[in-house]
Amino acid sequence: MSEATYFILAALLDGPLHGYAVIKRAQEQSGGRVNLAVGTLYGALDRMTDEGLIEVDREEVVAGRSRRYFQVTDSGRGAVQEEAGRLAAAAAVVTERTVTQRTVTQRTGTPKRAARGTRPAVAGGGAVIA
Amino acid sequence: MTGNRPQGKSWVERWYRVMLLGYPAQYRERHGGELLGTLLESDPSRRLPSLRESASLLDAGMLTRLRSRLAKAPAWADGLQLGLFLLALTRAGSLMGGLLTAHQRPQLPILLATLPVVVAVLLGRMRIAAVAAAVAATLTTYQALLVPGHGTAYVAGVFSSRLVEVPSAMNFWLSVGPSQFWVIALGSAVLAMHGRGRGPLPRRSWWWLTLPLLEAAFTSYGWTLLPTLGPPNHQAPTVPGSFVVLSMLPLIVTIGFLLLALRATLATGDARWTIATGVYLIPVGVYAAALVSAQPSAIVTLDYQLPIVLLAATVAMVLLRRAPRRAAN
Repeated sequence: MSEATYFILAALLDGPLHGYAVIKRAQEQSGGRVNLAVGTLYGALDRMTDEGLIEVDREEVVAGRSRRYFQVTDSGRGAVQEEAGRLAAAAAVVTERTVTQRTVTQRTGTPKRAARGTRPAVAGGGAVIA
Repeated sequence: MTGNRPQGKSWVERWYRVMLLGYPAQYRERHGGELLGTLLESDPSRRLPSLRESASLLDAGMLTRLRSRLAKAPAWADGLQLGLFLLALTRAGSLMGGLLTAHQRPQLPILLATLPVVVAVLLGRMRIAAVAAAVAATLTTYQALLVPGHGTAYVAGVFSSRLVEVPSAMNFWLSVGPSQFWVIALGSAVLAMHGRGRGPLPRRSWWWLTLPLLEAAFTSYGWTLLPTLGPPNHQAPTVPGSFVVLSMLPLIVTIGFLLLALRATLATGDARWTIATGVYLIPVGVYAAALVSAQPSAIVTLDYQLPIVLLAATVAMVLLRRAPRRAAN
């Protein structure tokens, strides 16, 4: 799942939003990293609607122009939750190692080199577990 | 057309309306106003249109247009037809340009045989296209093999202004014109057999005919817009420094086509545009392979063909790795 798709689905988790609100919410939730252009946003919304991840909730006319509100479907909610779980598991590989390293450093008082690859680095008779 | 607020249009709004023309008319009718509203709402004080938003609209419009064509024919048939169409268009343009230079009278019969090929492929009438292309292929093969000196002149060919002396038996393979027509004839015959009982393939837009007109205009000035065969005895003009980009146009346009095809295929998970580009490049690939096998030292003359063929191979490898995965999603 692309980062844009992920943050669009995440933006819609709290309820239906129109296009501009999706842009703003995705920007806020990603810390400013995901700044969707309008063409990209609507291309993604159309594709996700075709794939059944989102659907049109209602259509309103504002200032003479129609405006669709999109909401996430059960399938979309499941997909973004699954992706969030995958990302969390991937993040844990690094964060757990960092925490372990920090603990070892605090105990011994000297910083240790990080393990390379999947091989555990041996430090002072103990092992820094990857 | 793209909204229902006729009065008070700003320059920015007018600009975005033009950018929205990349979308299919039906899509613009339904959602153009909504896209405009979002664009203007995202930065109401903007006096100049955003370059980023404009590029995004063009890109998304192109992809929406391409997606809307997906269901009409099988990808391989649609891609093959488009590739053959591009070959016929560039051939016709090159021949017309040759005639405009006034000393290419022998090309007239071939041009007259080419025009029905262009129209037949445009209309999706592949049986007629196969017959007409076979006639044109026979004529060009006769010229390449039997008319004294003609084949060697052809070798001056596609992009390079340098003559390459090769054995006359290789003339046919080093003549992109005949191989283009034979590819069109063979491909059209395959499509005609496939389409029997299924009706004609979808017809292409008449706007495509601007392509050979452009090519003809360029050829008549001694340049080529697309990688096609230069007229016999063609010597590329020496270009002043600031116009050197004109001599690079075949390379730029072809690589542009390749990258667009790659973008479309990766975005839609459908390989028809890459198949079209691959078919279009078959004669250039044959030319490069034949030249290198006949005279390995001549590889240095592949100044335009080699990067194109290498890039095409790279694109094919990328697609083989990525397209099936996207199509499965």
